[in-house]
Amino acid sequence: MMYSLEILNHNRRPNALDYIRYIFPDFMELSGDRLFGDDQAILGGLASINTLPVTVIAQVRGKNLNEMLSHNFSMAKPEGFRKALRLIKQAEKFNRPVINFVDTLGAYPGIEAEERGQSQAIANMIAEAVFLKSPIISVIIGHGGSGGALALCVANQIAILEHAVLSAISPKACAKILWKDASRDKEATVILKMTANDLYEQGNVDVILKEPSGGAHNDPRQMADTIRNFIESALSNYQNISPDQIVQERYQKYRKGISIN
Amino acid sequence: MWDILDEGSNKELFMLRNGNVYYLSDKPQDEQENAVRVIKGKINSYNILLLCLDKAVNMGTMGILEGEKISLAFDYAMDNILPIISIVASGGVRVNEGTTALMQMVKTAAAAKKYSDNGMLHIAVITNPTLGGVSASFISLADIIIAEPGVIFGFTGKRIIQETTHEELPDDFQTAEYAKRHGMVDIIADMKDIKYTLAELLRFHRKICTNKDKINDVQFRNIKS
Repeated sequence: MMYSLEILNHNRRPNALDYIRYIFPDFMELSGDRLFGDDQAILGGLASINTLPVTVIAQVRGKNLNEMLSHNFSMAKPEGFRKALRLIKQAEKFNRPVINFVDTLGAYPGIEAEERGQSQAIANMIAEAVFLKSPIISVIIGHGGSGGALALCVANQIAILEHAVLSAISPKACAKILWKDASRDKEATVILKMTANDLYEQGNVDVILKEPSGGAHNDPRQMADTIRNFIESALSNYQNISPDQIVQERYQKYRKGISIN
Repeated sequence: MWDILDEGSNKELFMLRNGNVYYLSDKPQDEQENAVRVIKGKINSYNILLLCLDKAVNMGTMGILEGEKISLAFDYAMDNILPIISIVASGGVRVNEGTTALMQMVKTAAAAKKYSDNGMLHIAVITNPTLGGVSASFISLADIIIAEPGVIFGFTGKRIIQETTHEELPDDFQTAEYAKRHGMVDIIADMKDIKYTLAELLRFHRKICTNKDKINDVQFRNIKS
């Protein structure tokens, strides 16, 4: 399996809305954090999979300039994380599993985000997700940018698409810090251990989902089927498990010993 | 950071390794370099666990070993019924350790929330600067947040915000005073007054500091890490 930054950045790479339309045709969006606003970088709502109601949370990267602007380039502000938190707590209340689609350049870096408590919003979402009594299944479909992605990566089962990434910093920013040269982003990906293979080897994801030949954009339906199969099989593990066991499993997963290479 | 503790009462704890499992011990031998220091001590006779993130070591960034040590400190403090005072200065997650370093945000947040859910007291003291993955994990989960005057406390660094948004930033952007005005900080206190502030806060929480029966929900207590 060869990781490819070109495939990840392909302008026709399917986004969360493409997968949701195909996997969850009855998706109904729910809006707002009930505190400040409705962030379009993270969408949430209700859907069903094989008649089982689930809560879906998705970071949305636009595919053209208009979409990018309306979803703020996938970069959520505190109200986005607080909307997601509200919806996963609602899922817990009604015993619904949570399905996350991760695809963000990172949490929004800006004045308003700082003023409204970006740190607090992310910390709270992470902490509450670790102890949520509903199963959480996450799929990293594109960019997994730092703390903003992490809040949606706290899950019982995490899958990553073959060419997707999860990293502490973007390869360009990393290259800029290390070599003062953003064009060396390919080298930076190696150091950051952010590719699907790296993440799998280090135990940071559970499953790698193979993309259609040449990348997900070559056959979005096939990719969506693969994702759907993963979600179905992951959910089947949690049908007869108590809420406490679900929490314990997730807690232990994130507290497990460290391996240093 | 030592000045805030009562004299003669301090014992530093080190993270030692046994196979794949780490634990805290007062024997200093063989600890790998770590930006985190954990000290068991007293403030005005109240027993506490001091957790320091020291910017002299790798800018105080949180790497893989730091995340483990912070989490072990929360476990230790819970098992020994000790309030935690965390004094931090940190650039955030240590990015050159890769994604596993990023995952320490989840590990420390999980440990801090378990500690908090068991009725324990966590006071964070922000020193200059505190940013990124340290702000956005165990620190923001503290019950009470104190900051030194003028220190930088936020999520994204100023330079990245400027480069991304090209917005003009307020003069006092991300300072302690700015953070307090926006509701992110409880108290601003000079380092010379911090001991008094902490002692007062501990006095208000003295039941938790002295009464072992306070801890009753132990459902997660004995999970092996």
